[in-house]
Amino acid sequence: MSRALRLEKDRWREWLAALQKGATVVAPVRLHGDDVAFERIDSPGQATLDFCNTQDSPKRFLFPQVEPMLRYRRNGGYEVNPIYDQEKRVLFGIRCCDVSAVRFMDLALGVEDLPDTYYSLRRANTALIALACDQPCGDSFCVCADTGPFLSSGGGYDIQLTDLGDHYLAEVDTERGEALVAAASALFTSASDEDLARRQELDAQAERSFPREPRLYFAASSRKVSLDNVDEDLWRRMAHWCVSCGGCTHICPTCYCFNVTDAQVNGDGLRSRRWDSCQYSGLTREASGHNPRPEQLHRLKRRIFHKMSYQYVARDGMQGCVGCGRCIRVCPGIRLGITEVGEGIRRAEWK
Amino acid sequence: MANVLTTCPFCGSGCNLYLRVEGGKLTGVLPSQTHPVARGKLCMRGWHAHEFVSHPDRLRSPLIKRDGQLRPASWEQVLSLIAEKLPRGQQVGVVGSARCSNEDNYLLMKLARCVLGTDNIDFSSRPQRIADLAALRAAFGFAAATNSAPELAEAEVITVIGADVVPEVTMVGSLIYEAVRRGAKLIVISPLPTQLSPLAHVRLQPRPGTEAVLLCGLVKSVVDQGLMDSSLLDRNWDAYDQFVSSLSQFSLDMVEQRTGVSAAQVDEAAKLCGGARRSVVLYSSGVEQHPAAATMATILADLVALTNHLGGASMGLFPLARQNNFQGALDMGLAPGLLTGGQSPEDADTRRKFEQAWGCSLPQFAGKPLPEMLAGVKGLYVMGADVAGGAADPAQARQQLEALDFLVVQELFMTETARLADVVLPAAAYAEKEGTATATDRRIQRIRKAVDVPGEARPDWRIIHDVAGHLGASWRYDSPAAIMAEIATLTPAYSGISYEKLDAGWGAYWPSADGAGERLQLKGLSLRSIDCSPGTQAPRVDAERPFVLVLDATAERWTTDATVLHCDMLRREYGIAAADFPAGYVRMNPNDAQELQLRQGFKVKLASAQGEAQLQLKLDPGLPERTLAVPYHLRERTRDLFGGAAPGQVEGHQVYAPVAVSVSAA
Repeated sequence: MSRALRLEKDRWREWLAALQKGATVVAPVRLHGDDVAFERIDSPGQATLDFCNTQDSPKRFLFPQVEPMLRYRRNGGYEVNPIYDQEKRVLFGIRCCDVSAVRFMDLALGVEDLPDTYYSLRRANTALIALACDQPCGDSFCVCADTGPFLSSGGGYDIQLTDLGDHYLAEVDTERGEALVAAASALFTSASDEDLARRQELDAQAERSFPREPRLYFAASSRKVSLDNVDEDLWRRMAHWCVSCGGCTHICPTCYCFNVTDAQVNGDGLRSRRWDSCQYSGLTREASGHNPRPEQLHRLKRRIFHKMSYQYVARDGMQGCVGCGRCIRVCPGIRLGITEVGEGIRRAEWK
Repeated sequence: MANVLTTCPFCGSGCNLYLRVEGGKLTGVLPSQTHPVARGKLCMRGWHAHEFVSHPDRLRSPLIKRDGQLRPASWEQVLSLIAEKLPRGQQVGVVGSARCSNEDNYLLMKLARCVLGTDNIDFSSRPQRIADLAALRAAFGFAAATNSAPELAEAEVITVIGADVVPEVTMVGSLIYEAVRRGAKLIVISPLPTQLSPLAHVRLQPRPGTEAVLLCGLVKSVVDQGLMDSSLLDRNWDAYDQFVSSLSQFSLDMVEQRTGVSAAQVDEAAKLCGGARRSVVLYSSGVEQHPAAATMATILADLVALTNHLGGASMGLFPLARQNNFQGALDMGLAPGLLTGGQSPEDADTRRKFEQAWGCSLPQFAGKPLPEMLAGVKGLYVMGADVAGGAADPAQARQQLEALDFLVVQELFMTETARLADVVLPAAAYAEKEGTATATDRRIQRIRKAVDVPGEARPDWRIIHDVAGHLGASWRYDSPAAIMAEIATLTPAYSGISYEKLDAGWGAYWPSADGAGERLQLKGLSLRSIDCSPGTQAPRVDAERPFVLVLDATAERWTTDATVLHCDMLRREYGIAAADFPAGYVRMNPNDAQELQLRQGFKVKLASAQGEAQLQLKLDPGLPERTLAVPYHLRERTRDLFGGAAPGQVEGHQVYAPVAVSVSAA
């Protein structure tokens, strides 16, 4: 389904206020300097739609960095109480790459035969209001991943907003989206044919204005990665630029590795899971001391393999990279964003 | 969810990050995209900076030792006990921390000098750096980095000496990666492999113990190749003549003989380092904890002076601070005979200024640096420092702490030092208080409160304020901002610094008065003659003891940090070497191991002329043959091999010189 509506630009915060009555609204907020990141907002005035892309994706609202899972108590046996987060949330103003990343997480974590309960419960209570990109932002290459700059119907959003100058076009794509509009139906009118034509124009214009760099030639790099056709020495030379921070995986909107730890005080325990990283040696180190990925080059290879190998496309139905470009900016080693690594693999050279 | 901007508590890079707060608890971090050093990045430690704050092992209540057991007590009880039992004057020593804020450290310094009447004040990580800091102060008039860290990214040539920058001070390492990516040439000088070594355009690996000789050779080559700056020479002919004559005693051939580095390589490094306009020199523990640290720091100061790499953009000399407020603790006067901002109590005007402002007389005697202090005092007040665990000679420090009449420790966790205390005071972590910290490049930045303290813990400045009150002082500080106002009044370098000013941007550099703190301008600089003759500490190897063993001061320093060890993920990652090698390890080149028919993990016996130790073997192809390295945190287990820590060139500096050893299967 898809329905096109018009929302006056000076009234989007009124809509936010209406949405806040039924859910917690998470929106981009301007922090110190030019930093913009997602935050739970208390009032619509905190939110901004004047940003290129947020510093991190809204991943942590579906898969938090530290997530309490259950409390347990020893009393002869064990008393176990799971902790489920069922707060209703609206993720407002998320970019198309991040909407696509949620679609990937749904495929990877929400699989029918073995769903991740914690993720699935959060996801079931989370609505996505996307903001289409009318210009490329910094390091993104969503055009290569087919995850932007605009999404089409079925792309994973409940509503997609497009900035048309004095008003927004709101494409409503789901039942949940309809309910979000119904929360403030007086603010919306039908969109015109010109609005729809202008949207197509902006989409095409944005796509044309992507710079030459960074680009990721998925097909060529994927082929080499899938066939394990990359020289070990190339991985080694690339890994010289890795500081093992794990930042690329933490910031990645589609990475979901976690570790589970217990904290106990006087027999009362709290079990939590927290983001782990394939860039950390301890992720795969076995109790015997054996580590199947003993060196950083093996860990770099692992990350790229999961993002690019056709094995995962076949399994999950989608490539693990949505082209947001955040791994480029987060890398203290400067060069291990996926585009430069992908290009190194494609050309089999690393200077 | 709220995002609270603060300064990372770990290394001296000074990255800013946002602490994520939900329901009054920390739930994660986010790097700051626009912070000039962080640039949207964090290291592994930074990504887990929230974890230790909410660890269940945090100290929650004041403790008093009764019958050998630390038991909970009220604040009133502990404060009264401190007032009663803590000695005054020369009988007491005070130890601060490179982990506490400027405000915490300033107040501690004032407590020592104004209330306890002692000049015995130091902070736990300073003794390692006594020698190089003294040399820099003598050369430059201040002991700090000459330039700001972000300038590194634009350098043309970067020379890294005795530092494994990436694990030690990660975001400074990241700026080096950025410079190299942009085309900068990298020179790495270290006997041991470092993370940056594979990227080096010139890599000099002197024999352990001969690093100072190599640096003399580098300066000699700069002079011989005419790479010194002629405009500088116009002003300093006399100094230059003296300086050159101090170099005349040796040749690059001799350097080659002693260090194993060829004259051609030294010339190449000198040409790069001396020839480029934007040339930066960085050093860290490999220099600081070297027996010839003072000589080496003097040579490096000479090198940048001689080539006129001072005062301009993307140049200068960078001593690296491994802890987030090392520079600040130094700036706050936590050293004997040093007031804030490098001011001296021997200067009559300065002395009068402090005495008038504080309403007390400053101590008349000169205090001792920490290692000597421990041997001489009856009581010790420690804030945020593991004096035993962090000492050059932990066994000796432990004994000295045990012998004290009264030990007070203010801490987050029950450290080895806290266990020995008579009174333990629970302190607030960085995320639970307001304050400032000064990064390795002199950038003063805000620490901001994100969550409440656990139990009855209190911010360090508040505890000291209350201790002072019980000792009869009538201080009236209602906030850390008020303390900073006093620091700014009494300290020319910090003049004009206020929370408003720091909050407005990304902090501020000192000296702040003219807003030009990013690059320090030196006045009346002169070259200092260097004496390279004592520069070699290379042990004599022979058939009986064919290996040189080094105590590697750069590697794995984070494995002993109490805050790091209370972050689940960091504990796992930094604990891997200890899990893989439960008996401790020594690194060896695989070729040597093959010759001796030894494999990774084998237990070996090392024997020097002074003693023996047993360790497991860890193979490292980056290590030169016939060189062995033991990480610094295993110094206690290898103490007998080295014959313990030896006194360095400067009082209070304790060092481990390389020794010749034999290796056999144990």
